[in-house]
Order: sequence, then C-alpha cells, then structure tokens
Amino acid sequence: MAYGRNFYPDQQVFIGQLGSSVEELKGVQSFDGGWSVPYEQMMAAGHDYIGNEVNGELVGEVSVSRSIVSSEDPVTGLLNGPVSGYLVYGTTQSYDKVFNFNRGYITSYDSSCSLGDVASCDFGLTAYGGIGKISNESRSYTAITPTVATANNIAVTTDFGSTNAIQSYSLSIAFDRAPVNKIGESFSPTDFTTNLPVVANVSFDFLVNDFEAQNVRESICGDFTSNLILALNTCPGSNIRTFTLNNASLLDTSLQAGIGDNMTVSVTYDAYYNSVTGAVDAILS
Amino acid sequence: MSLTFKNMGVSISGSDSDLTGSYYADSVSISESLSELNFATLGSNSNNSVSAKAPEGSIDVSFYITTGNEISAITGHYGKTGFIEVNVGPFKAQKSLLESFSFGLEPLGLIMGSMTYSYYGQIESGTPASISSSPTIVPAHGAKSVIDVESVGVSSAVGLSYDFSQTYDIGYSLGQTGPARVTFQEMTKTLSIDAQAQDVDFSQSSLTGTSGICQNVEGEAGFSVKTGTVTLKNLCDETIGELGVTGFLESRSFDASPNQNVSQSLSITEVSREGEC
Repeated sequence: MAYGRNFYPDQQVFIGQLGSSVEELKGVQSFDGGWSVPYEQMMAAGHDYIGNEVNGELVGEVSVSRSIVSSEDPVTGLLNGPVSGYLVYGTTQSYDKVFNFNRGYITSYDSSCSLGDVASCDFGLTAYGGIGKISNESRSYTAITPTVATANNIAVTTDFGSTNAIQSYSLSIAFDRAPVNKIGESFSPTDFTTNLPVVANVSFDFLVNDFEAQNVRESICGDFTSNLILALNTCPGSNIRTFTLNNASLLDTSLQAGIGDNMTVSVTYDAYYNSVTGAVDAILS
Repeated sequence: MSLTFKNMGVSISGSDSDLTGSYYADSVSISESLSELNFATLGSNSNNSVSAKAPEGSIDVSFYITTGNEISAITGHYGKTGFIEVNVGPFKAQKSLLESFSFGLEPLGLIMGSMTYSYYGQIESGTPASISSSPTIVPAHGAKSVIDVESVGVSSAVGLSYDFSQTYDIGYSLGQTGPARVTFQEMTKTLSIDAQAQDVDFSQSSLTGTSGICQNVEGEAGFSVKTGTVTLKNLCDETIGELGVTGFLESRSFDASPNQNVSQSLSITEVSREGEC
C-alpha cells in the first residue's frame, strides 16, 4: 500500500473573528498547532494507581509564520478579541481534513527581517474553546500577486542606524491574557483579563562604526527612550507596513568584539501600553 | 510483610447508624497521644508519672469523592453520638467520632474531600488489609459540578468550599478507661464562595438590608436566611451528591489587584445544636 502525503499546496490557513466569517491568510510559511491534556495520575490507599483525571486547562496552542506578501493584514484586526479558524488540508489538494481552533486569543504578534530575507510577520494564539477536528470546513482561494518587503527596502529610524549598518530587526508584541474559569463551565471560559501593560519588544543587530554604548548608570535619571520606526517598503518604494514605537525604553545593550569579526552590537527596547487597542493603534497604524 | 500505601485502604462503619463507606484516599495520617500526670510528694525529690486517661488520637483522610455513598456515610453522622469504627489498612479505631468534613471546588480541578475523626483509646493493629483490585474511578470535578448560590446574589463563582465541623463533650467515669458518655454540643456548616464582583449582586450580598440589622424575610436581601447548594458531578456529568448550607451571610470582602477583575468573597454559616445527647 502506498501512502500519500500532505505538502504545502495541500494546506491553507483561515482565520476570523469568533462567530464571523473567516478569510485565508496569505504568505503562510508554517503552521504549528497542538494540545496536551493535563492529566493527573490518581493514587489511592489500598489500591495504588486508580486512573487519570483532567486537572487543569484544556487549551491548545497555534503558531503561524508568514512572509509579508501584502499591505493588508487581517490579523491586526483580530488582536483584541476571540478568534476561530482552521488549517484545511488533504492529499492531492483534496482539502478534506481540518485542524480547527476555537475561541482563541492571539498572544503574540512578531515581525523580523535579516539581510537577504523577506520580512516576516508571525503570530501565536491560545485556543480555549477546543482545538483539533471540530467541524468540517470549506476552502476558497483567491490568487494574489505577492508584494514583499525585502531587507534592502526597509527604512529604519533609530538613534544609531544612520551611521551604523543594521543587520536585522526583531519586533515582538506580547498580549498576555488569562481566562477567568468558573465552576461548572466545563473548561470553556468566557471571561478573560489582559495582563497589562502590553509590552512591545524590538531588538536590532548592527555593525559598529561610531556607536558608543550609553552608561547604564544614566538610567538612574536620564533619558533612555527613543522613537523607533520600521518602514517596510516594496522594491519600487511604496510602503506596505510600518511599525512605530514611540518612547521605547532602552532595555539592554550587548557589544561583541573578536578577532576576525566585525564588531557588532545588539540593542533591545521595550515600549509599554495600557491596552491592546492602544498598542495596536500606536504600533501598527 | 511490609506495610505500604497499597495496604492502607480506608473504610468507616457506624456502630449505631449502620452507615458504612470505603474511600479512595490519597493521603491518611494517624496520630495519638497520652495525657500524662506528673506529680511529686513532700519528702522526696523524685517525680512520678501516671497516665491520666486512655490515649486519644485523630485520623485525617484526604480522598477522591466518587460516590454518593461516600458522602452519606459522613453526613449521616452529623450530630450523632454513636461511635464509628475507622479502619485504615491494619489499623482500627473502634471508638471514633466525626470531627470535620470539607471539600473545595475549583473550576478546573477534581474535588478532594477531607475528613477528620477523633478517637478514644489506643488504636488497634492487625494484619495488613488484603490488596484489592485497582478500579478506575471518575471523581467529582469542578468543571461539571453545579452550584446554586443565587440567594446571596452570586450568579457564577471561581471557587467554593464547604466546611463542616462538630464538637462533643466526652465524659469519663471513675473505674473506666474509655469514654462513659458522649454529648453532642454544636455543629457548624460554612459555604465560602469566591467570585468576581461583577458576578455578584451587591444588594443581595449585603449583610444587612432594608430593615437595617433586623432580620428580613427569607429570600430578601440583607440579614435573612440564605441557602446555598452544591451538586457534585463528575466529568461524565453523573451526579454524585448534593450538599447544602442554610444559614446567614456572615462575611463579605472585596479584593483588587493588578490585572485581575475585582474579586468578592462571601460566606454563609449555619450553626446548629440539634443532635443526639
């Protein structure tokens, strides 16, 4: 018997607001989804092992890696509420199998790019309303002409980038949510709280030309903040995505020097926001 | 023969009530002590010791709640003065009295019961109990259990605990080493509820109502008789048992901390002196 296989033309990812229609995510490079059951092994005097029982949250995790191929990103509109979606797949593009995720909350939104790469935009979510095969799903496909931002078309505004060669950036926004579980809810929470502040973290690696690190003691009563802008442009120069972090606090600086290598520096900034909406409006608008 | 956890099966049997129950205990502890009477006499610097009365001890059992029989064998001894025989593996305490019973509900966790017995007279020991087969149990679980605490204005709760305790007066008599008389004194049942403040009706959870500190009609807000019930179910949605408290709202508190909704805690307390003498 010959076994079939699923490879990338056989797979599509869809996502949408919980209870609303979904749309296909474009530029998906990878999809990872999974769950584990928090079993407790029960032991009883007179018997020893007497079975397993669920003793914790029944949740699953999904992470999706994407190349930025469009100026539109449906995920930015889904950061402040519950989502559902699925990976549909099937051998020879039959798309007859499904991996659903339900009542998910996006917990991370990341973007990065290094020299020679296409800029990426990844996200992760935690599903509280079931994950795995939940229902049959249909698929649709609309072809697009990818509009990518390559490293040589990214304009970065920093305190050091005009005279020191930036090699890469990495942006990560964490949306730390906690369910409010209630007695009798059967592992399906409907109330959630967001742990504040929302933290956006951005780091840069660059070759040193004239950079000098600030003295850490200047943080005692000094200005350690910067306004950072990452403008992702197409080859002709039109903008497809901009990330803005105003008043980002310099968090750490790491300098590496060695024989045979160019001197490099890594710097990391954090920016803080008092709501998910505030973070989305400030960073992604 | 070695004595292991597998030899320590727990069961109880009421001497007067005919109520029996066996338990899937995840921990058991037994402790006993002897009251010593030390005295000296004039003219001598030596000290003398005698035992004042027979040893007394306690047995604490934490167990998975799996059947209604387990619960009724405990609640059937509320306010009762008849002794209970408690067997823990090879150990036997023939003159025991139920002291307390409690359990807690959490939304995601299985429900463990906890019971404590006081016993009078030294524990006896025999041969280790035979090892029984290992069944697969389905214990009560907070994810499926149902609570009804609407009378104190709570529509849903994030935590709940049921606590029962009772006290006795144990009398001894000259010429006897064991207890000669058991008199029931008081029992207290408490239902403690943790909820989000947004899920609690403020007026209904108030300690006093429209009549101030005077008692209101049952069902009304304020100082009136309140009832809270807990229906224990397992993850297969099978009902295991139901327990309730009918008393007065005794305390209310609010807590606020970063990144959490304001929480509110309430407790309903029922005190009774009705029992066997």
